[in-house]
Amino acid sequence: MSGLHEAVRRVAVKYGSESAHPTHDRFETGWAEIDAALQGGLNVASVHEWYGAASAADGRKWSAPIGILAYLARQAWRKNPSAYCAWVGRTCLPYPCALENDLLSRMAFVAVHDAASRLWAIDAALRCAAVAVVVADGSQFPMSATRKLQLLAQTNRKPVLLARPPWECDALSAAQSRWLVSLKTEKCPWPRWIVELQRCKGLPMTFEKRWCVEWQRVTGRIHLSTALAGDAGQAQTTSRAVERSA
Amino acid sequence: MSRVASIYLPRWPVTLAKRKRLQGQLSARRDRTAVLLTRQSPRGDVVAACCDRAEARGVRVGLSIEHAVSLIGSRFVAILPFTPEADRTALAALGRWALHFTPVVALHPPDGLLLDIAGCEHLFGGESSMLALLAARLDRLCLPSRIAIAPTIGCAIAVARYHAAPHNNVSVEQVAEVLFPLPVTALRIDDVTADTLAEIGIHTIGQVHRIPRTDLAARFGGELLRRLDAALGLVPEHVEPHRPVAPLSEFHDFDGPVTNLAVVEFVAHELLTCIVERLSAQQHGARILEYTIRHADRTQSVVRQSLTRANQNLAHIWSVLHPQFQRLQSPFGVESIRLEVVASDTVSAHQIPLWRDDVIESRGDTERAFGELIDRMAQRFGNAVVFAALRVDTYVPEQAYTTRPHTDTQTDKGAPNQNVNRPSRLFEEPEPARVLAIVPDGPPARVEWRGAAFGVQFARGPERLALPWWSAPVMPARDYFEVQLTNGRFVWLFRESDSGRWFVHGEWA
Repeated sequence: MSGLHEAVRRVAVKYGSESAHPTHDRFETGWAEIDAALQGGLNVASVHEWYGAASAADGRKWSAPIGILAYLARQAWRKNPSAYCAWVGRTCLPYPCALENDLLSRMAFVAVHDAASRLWAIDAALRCAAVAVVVADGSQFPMSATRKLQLLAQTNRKPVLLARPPWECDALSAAQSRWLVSLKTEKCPWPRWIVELQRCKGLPMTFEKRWCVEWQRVTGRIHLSTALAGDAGQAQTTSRAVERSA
Repeated sequence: MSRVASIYLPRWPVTLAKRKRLQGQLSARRDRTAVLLTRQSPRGDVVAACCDRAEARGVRVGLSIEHAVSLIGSRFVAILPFTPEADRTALAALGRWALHFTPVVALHPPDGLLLDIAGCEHLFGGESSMLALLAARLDRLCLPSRIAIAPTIGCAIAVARYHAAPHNNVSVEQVAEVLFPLPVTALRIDDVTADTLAEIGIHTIGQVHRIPRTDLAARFGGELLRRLDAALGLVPEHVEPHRPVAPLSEFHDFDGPVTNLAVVEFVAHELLTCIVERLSAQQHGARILEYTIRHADRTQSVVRQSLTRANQNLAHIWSVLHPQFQRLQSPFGVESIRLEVVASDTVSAHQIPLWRDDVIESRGDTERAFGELIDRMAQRFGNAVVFAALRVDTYVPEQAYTTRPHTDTQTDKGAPNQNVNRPSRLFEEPEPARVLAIVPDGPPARVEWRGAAFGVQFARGPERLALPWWSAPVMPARDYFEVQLTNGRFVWLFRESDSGRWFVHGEWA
């Protein structure tokens, strides 16, 4: 059956009804400049690594860019809303109340800790036809693990968003794209991050590779800062007492 | 000749809630706590049902909980949720118990049973003995009840619910004499008809009976007349029996104790194959399967497996069951093995796609594939590790969500997202911090946290979050601030209102 399918695909490619490179199938990030630079968005059938920032003075702890990953997971999941999203890794689980209800209801959390268990869970999720996107803690994954995940993502045509600690950013990896997330230190009334594209296989890196994204308080989503330049306003301390009882 | 027994269980939801609260302790009879069952309404939590102690203090259905608690005026008040679905399930279980007395039992929801006892009373020494036995058995189960035996369903229900005496045996000749003094609501009519009758001064069944039939039909329609005729036995009315479904099961008895566990596994697989075939024929999938293995030393082992979604895939079900058989031990041998489908659910038939095996064509296939994934993960890591999250309608951050296994069949979507301005990461426990504020109740100016000191570039707040005064355990009110530290991190900081201590609860990562 797979041989027949491959023959059909070759015919479709020959006569132009399907792209010769299935990996050109992308999902939009919703950030216009980044989508334009990536020629349509992030590759669906690939692994994308997102390196967080150190969170303790001794550098032993790190914060995964959970907000950005949750936002991108939702962007990828929206291409197939009847499917599920798998989130793997105990140390980078999001606060469920920060997720949108539609994604939260289709989310499966797997709170495993060690690298072998995480790898197994990601493997099982990618092989499941009901899962549309996998977000995972990718810390301590060697090159062989990332290569395996990249092949699985390619075969099953699903994106994998891996959160990794900053001290692994020089490690070898087979991921299709690598992003560094750092905090923007200037005074600002809402969280802002710098996302820097370190590499993206298959794309010429001739464009600006650093963007500023920020979390929009009203919607809870993440937007490019340039798109919201008019809304950022003056940063000032507000002291508004809002008393609520549960 | 038809003879029907009506069992009325007054305050059935309250009785069940009390039993669940006290977990069947004998002291239930001496329990003096007033019980209120609540349900949500647009006005807030209101009383859905109450015990007789609360009703004596003036509590009525529909009152707000706060008003009801103030009327009771006692600290011994238990406020519990109203669960009509669970009450109906319990009523069905009681109906299966009543099959001891007659094979024809019907549920009369929400709080009654109907038993067709014609031809069964002689087994219990007559109707009076049967009535006494029913009352005694229900009393032993600590279930308050009122029972009436009558020639018609309408008469039995009316007498059980409205007659002064708790237990009655009504003969054919006594039907009119017993029915006529009862209120019109005993005829099982709707509230609108009952209110209309009351407006024109008709309060009893006898008064309704004296009205000419043509006038009754013209004024109130045929339903009132039909109910009256059914109660008097002029038109037939039958008990529709509640038929409990026997669970699917397969059984194998070995000729002698078998110590080779490979044989036991083989037989277990064969039983599973038979069960899956029977389920497939009914378009059902297994949800919970249970093997009962009897050993030669009169002990038994139970192998139980829950599946996330109803499943007919033999290979998958065996793959999750097989590891449990590998852990089975039977030093003296296995004598018999039984497989029972504890729970099942309907599955839709699906068409296998021609071109690509990995394409899911229907939502049913998505759910089935997802269920198999969760089953494999739960088997490897445990049920506590693989979960779904659900929002809860509360402002307390750590209580604003709950986790549950994917095997739960609840369709509750959770509370709507009321607070979008919440951090993407909440720490498992709030982390203590030392904070310096310029004014005592003002925003922080400097934070020492995780062994490092930071200045504060920006702060927004306070947002005070507190639990209601009647909740337990009591949580001190917290004043939350969204704070940007000098290294750019945005953290969620709070100060306890009573102690003044500061904690970092989460961050926007």
